[in-house]
Amino acid sequence: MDNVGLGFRRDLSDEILALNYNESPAFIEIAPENWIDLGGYWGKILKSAAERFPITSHGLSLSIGSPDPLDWDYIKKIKHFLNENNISIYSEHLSYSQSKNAHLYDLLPIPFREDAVKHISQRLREVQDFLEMPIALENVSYYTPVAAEMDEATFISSIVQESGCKLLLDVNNVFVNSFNHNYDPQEFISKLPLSEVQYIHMAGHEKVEEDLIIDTHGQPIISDVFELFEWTLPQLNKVPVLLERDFNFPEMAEIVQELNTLEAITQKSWTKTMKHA
Amino acid sequence: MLKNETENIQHQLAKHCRSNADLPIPGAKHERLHHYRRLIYTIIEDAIESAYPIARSILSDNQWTEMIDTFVAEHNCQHPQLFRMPEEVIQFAIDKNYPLKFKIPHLIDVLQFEWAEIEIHSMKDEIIPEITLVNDLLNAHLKFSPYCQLLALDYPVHHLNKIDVANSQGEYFMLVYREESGTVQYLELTALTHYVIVELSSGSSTLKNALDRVISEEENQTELYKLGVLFLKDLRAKGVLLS
Repeated sequence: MDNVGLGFRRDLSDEILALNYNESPAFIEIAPENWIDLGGYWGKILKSAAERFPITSHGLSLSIGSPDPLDWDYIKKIKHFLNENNISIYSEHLSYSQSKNAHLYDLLPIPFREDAVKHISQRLREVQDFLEMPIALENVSYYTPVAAEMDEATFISSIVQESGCKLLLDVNNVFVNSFNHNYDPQEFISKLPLSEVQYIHMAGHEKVEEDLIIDTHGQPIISDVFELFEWTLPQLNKVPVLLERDFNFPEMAEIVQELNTLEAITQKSWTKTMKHA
Repeated sequence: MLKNETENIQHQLAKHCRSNADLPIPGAKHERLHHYRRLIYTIIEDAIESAYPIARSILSDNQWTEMIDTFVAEHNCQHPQLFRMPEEVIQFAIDKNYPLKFKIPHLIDVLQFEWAEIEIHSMKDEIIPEITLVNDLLNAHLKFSPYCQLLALDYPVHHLNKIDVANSQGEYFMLVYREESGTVQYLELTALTHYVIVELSSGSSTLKNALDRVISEEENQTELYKLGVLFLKDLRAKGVLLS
């Protein structure tokens, strides 16, 4: 595979490392929080993975949208970890997971407001300056808006523009949000700064109520999300695409099949784009 | 830069997720907020249950739920790494006096025992300089593996399925250590062998110095020296003693 990677979860690590060349993802993605300062058995697994695959990273605890101060001790560890493992992409979530000096370990929705844009952009600039690299910020799935004063696309675009960060376009999240909040996913994507997309995420989700989908990463990608992905790709530069699968793991052959499907779409879309260019 | 109003809304949402309190959150679809509460609660509960399967098994469902509910609502989780967060449960359980409240006097020891295994298993690798094996284990200053931890407990929690642990209060010592393969093992110690490791790992004592301080009145000192050396050879075979 040339373009498509797989989330390197501990439950999948042995099987990923045992894949033969033809089945192997182009890269793996790790969450730094799950591996920083980890030695022993898991330290050896990470070392084996780093010897075999290029690695991208997807952070969980930066909490860029939090009212709480940034945790610079943690950010220093991130920088060291990225350098130590030769990681070129550091992505994070446009959300917050810390409040009143407490980590919550999940992604809470930020009010789409001008002051939040300024607050987050300033924090992104500080972190990016320290890391000496741009952060690819993911459009997160959310289940309720909170005190919004602008639409989501404007919120995201403003932050990308003001902070100089890149965009991690999570196509499944766009689909989930468009369903949950009743908007057109293609129209939404068209409003984003697509030239700044550095990375793409694809995943499965679960419909838990008649009008609500939860972004679980525990199911296969559905055809509607594949279609949205295929529609989106010709508008983007060629970037890495990641399959996220975080629990409810199927046989590895099924995951490889999903990787192959994604790879085939990228090959088709980007070859065509390049020919047209 | 962030307005007080926005900041307060964000804290209100977080507070709702932690406490399940019915708080006004402007612009939110309140019928959907419970999903955030559920997701956060489940993540924290799963992390704690994975870290402490034995503690989970000795608590009733009601006790477990009370502990997790209170932890999520009241404890400010400090560690950005979720898998390291459960360590914070130990002090929380002490502060809440759960051993007395739940009538499980060995609860803290169980938590400490289970956490020691995780801590040693996940401990960051260190660069260990090559160390020459010493012949005279009785008189040499010795180096120990960094991947080990001594525990001094009040209850024999390693015999949980064999004896009535709650009614066996006493002094129990253990050494938790990591093998080269990464597997974590534990070794039961006596008060004397625990003392010997504490003294020798400080780097200031030899085995003979350490023993002389506690066996000067004994008649069979030579035999005790021999047993001490045998004990150190066993620790060396286990990878705990590096010298």
